[in-house]
Amino acid sequence: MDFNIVIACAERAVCVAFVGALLGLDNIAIGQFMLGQPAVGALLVGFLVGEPLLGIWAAVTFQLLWLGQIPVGAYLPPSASITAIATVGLAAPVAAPLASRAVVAAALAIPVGVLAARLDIWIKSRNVGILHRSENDLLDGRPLALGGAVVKGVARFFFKDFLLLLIALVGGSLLVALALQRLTPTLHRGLELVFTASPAVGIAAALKVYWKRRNVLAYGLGAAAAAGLILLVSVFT
Amino acid sequence: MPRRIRAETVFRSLFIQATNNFERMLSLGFLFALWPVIKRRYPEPEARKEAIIRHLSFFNTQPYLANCILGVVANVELRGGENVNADVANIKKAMMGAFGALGDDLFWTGLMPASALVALVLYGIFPGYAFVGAVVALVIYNSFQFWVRVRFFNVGLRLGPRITTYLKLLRLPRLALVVKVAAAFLLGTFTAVMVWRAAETGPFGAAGGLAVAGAAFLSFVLQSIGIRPGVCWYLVGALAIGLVIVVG
Repeated sequence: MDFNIVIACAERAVCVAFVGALLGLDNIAIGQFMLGQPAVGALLVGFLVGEPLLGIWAAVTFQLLWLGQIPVGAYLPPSASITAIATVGLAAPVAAPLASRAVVAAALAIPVGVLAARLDIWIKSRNVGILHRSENDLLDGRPLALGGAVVKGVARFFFKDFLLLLIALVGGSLLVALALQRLTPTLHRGLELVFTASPAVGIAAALKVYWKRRNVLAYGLGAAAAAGLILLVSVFT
Repeated sequence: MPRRIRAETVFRSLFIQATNNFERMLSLGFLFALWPVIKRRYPEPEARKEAIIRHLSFFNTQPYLANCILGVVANVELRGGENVNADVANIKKAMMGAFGALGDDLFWTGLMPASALVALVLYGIFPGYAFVGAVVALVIYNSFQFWVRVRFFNVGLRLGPRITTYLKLLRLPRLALVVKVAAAFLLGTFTAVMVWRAAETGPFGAAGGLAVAGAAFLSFVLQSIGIRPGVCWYLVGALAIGLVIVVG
């Protein structure tokens, strides 16, 4: 492989990991402005790597897949944001049809999202140390410890996502490329079908969350209204 | 309280989860947000130390609605009195659980998915203008969550524990139900758009549309028997690949 291509891939991986980690901060550490949600985050990273369609697919697939998985107490669902960003980052540098590389990248990215959530739990348990040290410092009359604790907390969440994404992207892109080299045309066709059907898994997950009579009625109404509108537009155009 | 201190408190509340931990959850973040008030109210070290201990007890709630508690607690701190310790503890205890549940309903399974679905529907219809969908979703979501953060802090600060009357008037649990119905409606819209997209522009034509509908049904059944969404994605993927291999 050309050395310049390796450098370009590494640069891209660092760039995606950095932006992904910044967006990941939005999920827990800072703000919760929805920037870290796959619907926005994956699209932004898609634009960043010059593949907006890949970003849209990752957004559509992963925003819905864990829609009902809310962080309750000590439970943390797999990180949809890291999964979606890793999918885009893993698939972008590989030279193959969009559908095939997106699906293979997603298959590798889901365990990365699970690991990201586990590391969030680990950080939360490590943050107990920050709490105790800050408490002692504050009671000793050192108020600056409070700001320092917040900076440390933010830094932990940032570096967790940055390092995880960097390792996953550097190692994973090679795996995606190798896997795609060995696929037969029939398997590529199969991956195309997975690419097409993937949002449906998320739709089912979301529907399960809203499974109450009034919501199901609203769901049916929404589907019927949109289908009617699409039919109307296609008749007139 | 001067506007600058109010603004600083609201700004600091953005970091309320930065030191989230399993022992006392958001307590350190809460103290960080309230620090401008504490610093101003208790210039003398002993009283400040007492306030620090008071606010480092267990605290956990939904991060946006935490601002309401911040406002009420700031009001109690500024009024002072002999029972500040007990008052603050009681207020936090009474409000954090209720706000946690309400916030999950209103934001995490209500407004957040609804806003995201607005973006997803727009991506499906106008993939070439996807950034517009993202901007619309961000505006819908953040305008409401910022309003909640700023307004609830200010009202809490003004009314103190009497804020419950104001909150009752807002009928937030009902609003959460309405937002969820809207999200379900958008999910239906998104389903139709995805089926149309797959049938119209996908490589499988009408069969692609059928595949989306079939995969949604199968996934729903699988998830209803307890299979997790992530695992379900792999299973449906394997089935789709198998189907192509068999059919050819």
